[in-house]
Amino acid sequence: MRVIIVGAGEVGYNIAKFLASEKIDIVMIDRDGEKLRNISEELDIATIEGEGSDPSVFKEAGAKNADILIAVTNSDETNMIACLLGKALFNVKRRIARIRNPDYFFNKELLGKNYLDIDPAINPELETANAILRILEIPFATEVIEFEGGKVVVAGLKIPKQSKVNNKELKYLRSIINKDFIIGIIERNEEIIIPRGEDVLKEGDIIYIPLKREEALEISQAFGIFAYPTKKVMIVGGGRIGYYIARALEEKVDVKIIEKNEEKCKFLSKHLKKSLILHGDGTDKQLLIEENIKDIDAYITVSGNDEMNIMAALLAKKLGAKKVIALVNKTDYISLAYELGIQSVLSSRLLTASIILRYIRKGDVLSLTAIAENKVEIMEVLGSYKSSIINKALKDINFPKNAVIGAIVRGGEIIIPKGDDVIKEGDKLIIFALKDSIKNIENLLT
Amino acid sequence: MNIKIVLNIVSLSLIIFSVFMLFPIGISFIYKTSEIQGFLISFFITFLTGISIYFLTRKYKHEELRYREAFAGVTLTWISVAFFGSLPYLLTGALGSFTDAYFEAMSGFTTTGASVIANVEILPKGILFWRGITQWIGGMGIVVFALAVLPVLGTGGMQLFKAEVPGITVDKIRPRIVDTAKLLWLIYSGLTAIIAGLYAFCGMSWYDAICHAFTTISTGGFSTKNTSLASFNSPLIEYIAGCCMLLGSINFVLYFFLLKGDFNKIFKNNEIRFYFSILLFLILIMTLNLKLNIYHSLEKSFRYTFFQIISIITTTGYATADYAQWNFFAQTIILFLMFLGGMVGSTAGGIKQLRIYLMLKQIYKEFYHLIHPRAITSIKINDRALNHEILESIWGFIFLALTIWIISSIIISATGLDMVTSISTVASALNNVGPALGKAGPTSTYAPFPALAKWVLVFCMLIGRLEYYTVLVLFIPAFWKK
Repeated sequence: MRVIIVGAGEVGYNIAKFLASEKIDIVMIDRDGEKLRNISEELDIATIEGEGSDPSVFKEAGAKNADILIAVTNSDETNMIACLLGKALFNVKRRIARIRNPDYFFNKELLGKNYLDIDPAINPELETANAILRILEIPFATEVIEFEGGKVVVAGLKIPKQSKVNNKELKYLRSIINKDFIIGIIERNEEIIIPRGEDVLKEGDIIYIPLKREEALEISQAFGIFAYPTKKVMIVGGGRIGYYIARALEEKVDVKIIEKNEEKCKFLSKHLKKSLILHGDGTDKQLLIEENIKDIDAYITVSGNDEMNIMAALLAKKLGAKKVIALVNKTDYISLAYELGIQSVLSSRLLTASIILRYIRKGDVLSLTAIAENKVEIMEVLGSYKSSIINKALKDINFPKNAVIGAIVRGGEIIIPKGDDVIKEGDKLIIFALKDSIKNIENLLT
Repeated sequence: MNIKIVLNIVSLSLIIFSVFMLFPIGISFIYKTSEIQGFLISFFITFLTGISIYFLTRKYKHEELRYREAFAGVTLTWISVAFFGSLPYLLTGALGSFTDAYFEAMSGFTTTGASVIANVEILPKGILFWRGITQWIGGMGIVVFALAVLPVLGTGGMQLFKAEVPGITVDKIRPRIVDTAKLLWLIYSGLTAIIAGLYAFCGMSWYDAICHAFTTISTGGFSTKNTSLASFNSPLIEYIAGCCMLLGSINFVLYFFLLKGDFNKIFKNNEIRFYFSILLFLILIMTLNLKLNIYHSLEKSFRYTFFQIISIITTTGYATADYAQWNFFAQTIILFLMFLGGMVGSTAGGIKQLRIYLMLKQIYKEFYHLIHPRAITSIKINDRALNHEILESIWGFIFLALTIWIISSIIISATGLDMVTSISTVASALNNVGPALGKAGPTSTYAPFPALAKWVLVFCMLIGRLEYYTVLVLFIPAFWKK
């Protein structure tokens, strides 16, 4: 398989990094030679210095034989031209683009089959806003991934200090929490652990569990995680992400937005109906106290500045905000931000990369989300008659070592997999897979 | 630096390398000669050493491999491959002293072709085949071969590739380095087969044809005959060999374009145009010189010139004429010709055409700036502008090559050798040519040289083959600092 990536930014880099470990031929195009040199030092990919809108560059990149074109430069226009070229001149099978500008993004005609035919267009700001909204809906989780139209979720739970499961071996977990569930993976300080009976849970671990939505609250409380239903939200940063969140929430909950730029404030006040728009700084202690930070259920920092987002979130936490969520785009900061005590840390770049990866998987993969800094993929796959795992008991399947079947979803019900369970046609499996086992899983499924 | 990764790379290369030792056994078997035992013992020693180091270090293979490990790994691989490659010479009794055997082995792997053996024709066929194989492996590189066949080395492959394959930038002909290595070896093997076929067609025995094909495509220069290619007494073979040596000195990426049918990229390649212009010019001058001063027959002068100029510029080192007896004008040209070398990305040694071409362009630019002080210019290669760092690194490379040449020449002359012999043997070793001038001309051998001189030359061959930086960086204190 050959993938052409236009744009060597954070998104392009993360996609390339993920795919390069899977024996996929990758050609990356960017106009910045220095960036390309740095990437090619680290990743085993080919790079071409040139414009993403130049047909001769595409030709050199072997676009004729490319299966997927991913246009993720900073410019929407370049991304659209790249996709157009890929379609018109080189007949690339699938074209994926990052489209930021809402005028383009919501113009389904322009992006649709008849014109640009971009499938899919991804709007990082909108995706980030949606991810934050999912977290607000299930406030005890650090991360929420929805399956089956939201009926089934994989929730990331951070083990708190007072939890009774601390320092307990997993095999005794059932006797502490009288519920049927399975832990998919454990994330501990940037390290991923595939859980075995002897592993011990520690404070600060993030565990990922597949759950039915209605059971989610109960199980998280059993782990000692208490959360409040979100009634009051404060958003720092009135950019596109802040705007999308406010627009979705303002009818149901109390929303306050703090934005430094007066022009942006005016824009927000014109376009939002009920939200309170404050002209000020999210790191201004006095302002936060005046606006009753103590009563805020979720304090969300989504400005364009990572450092400022982290600091503002920490300040709000100290002043009593119940949950703080920060947007941190620089990958190196993410685990740091978690360590500092921010409950949820999101990166729109990683999110975009993870969404794009979903479209590159083959087989009967219904959905896919990368978590834990893209080290792990959660895949939802359909058990089809072609697959070699069908009608077999789980214990007879030679499943890769670094992967876990977290749940079998059959008719909307979650089955916690045991050795004797048999996978039937039409079942949906939720699989947690470390990078190196993904190829094996794909082979098992096809 | 993680020494275990380094040893792991070395052990993998050794295991693969040991397999090549089985081929001469086949030859010995066919021709019923007696050196099978020596090769078998060498094979087992190499294989067992490789396997045992591998098992001691195997846990570390997935760890991140950085440039330091790559440089050390490649250098150590070459040093140890030459060591184990010298075993067959010692264990079959072909050579008596370790110094001589190591010299012969290193000269083989670096595709230099300098020999300590005066009479090769009395040696068993298996040994001569082994000499050919060492050059064939060395031509494309043992680490690149390991990369092509062992997926284990895939991570960090780029660093290893860069450390072993000479060049200014890495030309990846496939997006992934493992595929690139595979394709390179495939092209290389294909060319070897074609050349062997051509030689056999021109009247060589299949054994001679294959041995010479190995040392032609790798621009190595070992022969199975005492008088090299002259012994076949066939102008046809000489012309064919001349052309085939050229094949080895052309950037292998161009063969990839040839296979793809992208002829435009070949004809418009700046380096190949520059290379062929230089060749044409030198052949013209030298033919004229030989016609007027030495042979007086135009055909003979042209034939010897064609063969000898190509043999030296491609750093092969075959000989059909004893150019050490030509006039000083010719000898001076030959001495400096050694430094030119073939194209980047080929099996040839030397400074390489592309570097010379770019430096000449840079010099022209300096003049241009004297006339138009405010001009903004950029130096392009194949219509692509190069950045300043690359040009600076080329200056550094050339100056380093000359510095090493001067220092090594002085050391060699301290062992009592005359000046022409000293400077020409070092030039020949650094550029992996083989024969030199003076006491080491095409009809003499390195056997009578003092041991110290041989070891200095061994070192020169190694650093020349790996283009100086890979080896010499190990001598920089900062390299070892944590």
